[in-house]
Amino acid sequence: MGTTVELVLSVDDGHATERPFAAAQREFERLEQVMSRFRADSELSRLNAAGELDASADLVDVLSLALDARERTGGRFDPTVHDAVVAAGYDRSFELVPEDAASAPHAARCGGGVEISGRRIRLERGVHLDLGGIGKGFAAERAAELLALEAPALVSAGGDIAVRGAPDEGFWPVAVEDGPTLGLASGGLATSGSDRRRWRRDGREQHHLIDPASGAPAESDLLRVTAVGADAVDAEVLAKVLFLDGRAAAERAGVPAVLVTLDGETILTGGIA
Amino acid sequence: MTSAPVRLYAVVAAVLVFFVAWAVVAAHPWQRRTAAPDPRVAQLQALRLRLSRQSIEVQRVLDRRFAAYAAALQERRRTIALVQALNGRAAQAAAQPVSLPAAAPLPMVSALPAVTATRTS
Repeated sequence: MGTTVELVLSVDDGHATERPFAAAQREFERLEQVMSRFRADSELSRLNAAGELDASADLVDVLSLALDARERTGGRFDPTVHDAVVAAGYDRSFELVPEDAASAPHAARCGGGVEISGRRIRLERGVHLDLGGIGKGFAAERAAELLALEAPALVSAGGDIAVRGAPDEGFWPVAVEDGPTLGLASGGLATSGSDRRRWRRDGREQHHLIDPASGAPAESDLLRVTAVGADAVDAEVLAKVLFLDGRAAAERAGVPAVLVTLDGETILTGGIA
Repeated sequence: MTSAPVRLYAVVAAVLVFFVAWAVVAAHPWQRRTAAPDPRVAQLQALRLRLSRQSIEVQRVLDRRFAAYAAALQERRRTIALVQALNGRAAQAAAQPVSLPAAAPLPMVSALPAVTATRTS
């Protein structure tokens, strides 16, 4: 997934953890083979290439969640941003993306039709999917479920955090960059922002958070949003949407979140204190 | 000269022999042995065999199709349950737009050292 994964179990010293950690790692690798757009033989890549596919239950599940999020957010979260992300220059695993290149970026259409019928997924002509926005949260949730069979667990997949149970303190202390440490007892946490995956094309700054309405990298007065959700998937969607909405709307939304503005100001919202 | 009873017995025996001979001739036992088998019988037997094989094949096809239908039906029911669950979540989100469900406790700022950090990835 091109990101760092952390697996945490709340156990006593000496408790054997190799097996559950190995199981969680295998689950990440398995889901990467389902959802990665950078692997040519992944299920997602085959779907994008063919336009339709008899998919696995996992791909159907994660895509259903993504489409549900698209519905709930009025299209502000959209899994059909693949072509727009590529058009902006993010066409390979991020560590391979050139920091600066002369090719001009351009906007690309988002919001095309996706049909799921049983296990059969059909994409409208010209529509391609990117599940990076929701895949990390989904994988974190799955891994947390596996680890929770052993003990209270926390899984962080590139900063998307899923928890099951809690340690003795009753919550998991999670540091927020440029913000406070939050005590997470349940649910999920995710951070979206334009501060990390950035590059230049034709002299213009680009980043990976696409605004589906414009098909181009979103313009926001926020640098970064950390949102709390019912689970890591929900948190990922909320973080993305609040980033797109901007500071004023994010403060009004009532979602527990930590907002960091372009000016470096940190704002706690949604009841976090 | 023979007596009347003897003549009577002779006539009766002759009549019996006549009818037995008639019955034997009517049966045509020589014809049955030499007559050729009816081709329609062989055709009927071949047709019966063919229909029997087709019936077995049709049953196999039906069994396969029904198994596929049963699997698709189960999958469809699973999808319906998933969509209903998602619609339930969507309805809840619509009733509580863009906010935490009541069950999830609000995280508070903590002074404890963090076990991990969240950041843009």
